[in-house]
Amino acid sequence: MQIHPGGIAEIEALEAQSIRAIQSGREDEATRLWSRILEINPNHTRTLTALGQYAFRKGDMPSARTVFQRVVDTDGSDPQQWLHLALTSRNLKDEQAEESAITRALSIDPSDLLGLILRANLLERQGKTHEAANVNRAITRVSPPLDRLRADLRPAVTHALETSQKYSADLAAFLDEYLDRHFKSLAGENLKRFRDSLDIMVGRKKRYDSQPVIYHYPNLAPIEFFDRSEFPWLDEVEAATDEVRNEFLEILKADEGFTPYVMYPPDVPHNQWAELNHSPRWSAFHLYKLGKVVEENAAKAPQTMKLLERLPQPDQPGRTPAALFSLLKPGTRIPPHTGVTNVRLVTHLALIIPEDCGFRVGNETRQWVPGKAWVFDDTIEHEAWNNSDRLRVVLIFDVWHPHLTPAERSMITALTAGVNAFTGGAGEADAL
Amino acid sequence: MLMSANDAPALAMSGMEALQRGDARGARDTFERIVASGRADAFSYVGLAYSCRQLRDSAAMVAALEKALALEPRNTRALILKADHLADQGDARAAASFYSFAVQTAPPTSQLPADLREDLARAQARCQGLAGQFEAVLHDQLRRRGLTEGRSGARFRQSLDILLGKKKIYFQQPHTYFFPELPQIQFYEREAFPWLDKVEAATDAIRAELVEVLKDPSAFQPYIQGDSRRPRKEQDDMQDNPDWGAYYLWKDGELLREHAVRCPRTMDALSDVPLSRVKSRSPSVLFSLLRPGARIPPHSGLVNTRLICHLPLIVPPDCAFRVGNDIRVPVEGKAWAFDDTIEHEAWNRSNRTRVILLFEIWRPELSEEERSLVCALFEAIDAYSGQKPVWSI
Repeated sequence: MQIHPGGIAEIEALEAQSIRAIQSGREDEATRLWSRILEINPNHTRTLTALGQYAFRKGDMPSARTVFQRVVDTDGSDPQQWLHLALTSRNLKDEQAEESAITRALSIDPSDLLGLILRANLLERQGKTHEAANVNRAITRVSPPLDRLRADLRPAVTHALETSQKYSADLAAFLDEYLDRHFKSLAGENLKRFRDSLDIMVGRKKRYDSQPVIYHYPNLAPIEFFDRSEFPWLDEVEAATDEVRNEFLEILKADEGFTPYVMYPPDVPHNQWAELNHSPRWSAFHLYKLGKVVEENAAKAPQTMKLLERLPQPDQPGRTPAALFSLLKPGTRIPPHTGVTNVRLVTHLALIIPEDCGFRVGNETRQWVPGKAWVFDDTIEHEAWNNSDRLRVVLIFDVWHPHLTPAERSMITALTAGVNAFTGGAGEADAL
Repeated sequence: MLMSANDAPALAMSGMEALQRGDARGARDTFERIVASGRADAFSYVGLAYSCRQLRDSAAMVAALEKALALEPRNTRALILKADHLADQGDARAAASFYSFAVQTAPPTSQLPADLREDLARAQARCQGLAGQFEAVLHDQLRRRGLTEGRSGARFRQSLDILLGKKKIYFQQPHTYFFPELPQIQFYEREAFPWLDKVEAATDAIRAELVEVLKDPSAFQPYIQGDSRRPRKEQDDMQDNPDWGAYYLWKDGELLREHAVRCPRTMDALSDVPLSRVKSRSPSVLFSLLRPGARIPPHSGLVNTRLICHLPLIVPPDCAFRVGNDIRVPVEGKAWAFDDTIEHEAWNRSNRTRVILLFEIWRPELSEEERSLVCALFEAIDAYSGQKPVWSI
């Protein structure tokens, strides 16, 4: 319909007046102004919408529906218009009209939050649990966090979150039972990855990726604790436990050479360490530090040094090899953090382990056992704690990621030297 | 005024609104109230930092940024503000390290508000100057070590590009089901799949069958069929769009006999392929057609227990395919396998139609036991929900 240019200006003026009128509660005046607008343009979308909302608030659903229907007949481009119609149809208990209006809204924008909320609500009233679960999950995905969400939508999104969790728990219980005979028929196979996939799917575990702070090497599998079979030398390391521990005990007696584990300057972007920075509660006795032997310390641990020399220690000048005795004081917690690069993995050989100590990498929490070693990817979020009243001591050292070829290792070594050449050695501990 | 615990988020929003109005003083007061209540999150500290910057109180800004970064070390806004501050102080190298950390850790651009997108673009530009010098030194160093990129393999080259900020890290993002501990590989090495030899060798025969199918203009269906039950905005333009068409031989685990009998040599070429087989879901085998000028927007697939193979059959110039940070040009008769749960897209800028043969294979890292359990899992899900499964490629 063609509206005279003067008519458009007049509509705008009338509309401004009507907004002021309705905001200050002068409803009769607003109604009069709307009528005048509709005389000029009977299909004026915003005015029809305002009129419908007014009728809706008054509880006059038949009128609201007539007006909202006219909006979608003459425009219908905005999901909101269809949702007005859906809400009105719901109040009129016309489920078919409600459903078709919701479908039209979501066809325009399948991620429309209010549209999804109305659809979930309808499906729940219809007892369609599984269909509703899909929509509730979609709601939890498209909704902003609750604290950034429009207050009037919060209860519905909270409901969707709770319902999704409940559904996941029911599904999990069903799947556990259903898969039980499959697990039994495959007893003895290594099914850890599959079990984890199931737990992640039903929300019992989180997905953890490798998140190196500095240098990401692509195409490597993000594995929390590696399988022992990848590291045949672990047997030799464990066999040397007593020798290594005896050397450490002598060092501890002398009480020299220990430094705080974390010694960052305060203004670098690795603030994950704020609490333990420069703290004696987590301290280290370095044998190799930033790629070099710490001679005065190494001299006190000759057997440990001999052992380390036989292992696949990485070579990144100015960074690694790194090897140290790590001392975690009673009642100390190392907060969750991620390491610098996934080209190297970290080995722990447990030496002195009181009760109530633990170590988590990603989803998996383990207890150190004296004399046992493991290798983990420190670029996956990990944390450690000593809740006992005694000291915990672990020998920690870097090794090459076993899935890197010799050629790749030598490139990485050269790359590190290149970074050093560029920086002139400044900020080494902070790079690569 | 006392503040209840639930007010903090609402208050933070009102602080942000004050900032947008240009009321830095009011915004600062608001954020300081949140801090005083002990309920401040990184969002509030960043808001406080913005307010202090506008009020030219750089000491207070730095203090707020420290708090924000302690709570969220990868907060993009806080990293850029801190970098700007260091740059103003004349500490170019420290600034660069914050800019590059911000660029590396930022969420996808499409998820960012416009102002942050601009800030990030600026951060990128600031990084680039230093990165250019850095790159020259690195390449020189690597050459002097007697190593050439050609010998070092694709993984290392990619690691270098990521380190230099020339490429981004892409992760698997399956919509439906994530299988852990798998390497995140965009395109697999061709050598990993010796059975592709037979498929490639049959290219001419497969193409001849395709040409026959193409004579029937109605044979191909739109690739994405409308389904308003699912919020998948990323492919909106392609829904029910004949620009991207499919002719299925297998669809969602079912053999389409009428189609298969028209393409016997194609079926035969696939006889040794480890097609992934999940009841009512997989495999799908199809000719995928992309009309002139069409673009399949970036999207990621449903499950990472399969890979997708392409055998290009009819490829005009100016066609390309991107998976993560790797863009490749299809070549007729040369197949590749890629992880479709890593963001990917395709385009045809030519004036002719592009057609490939597409099929799903098991991910090679999965053991037989794992494959059988994946099948059992999806059967269980279908048994539980009683719904028709929705998978697509």
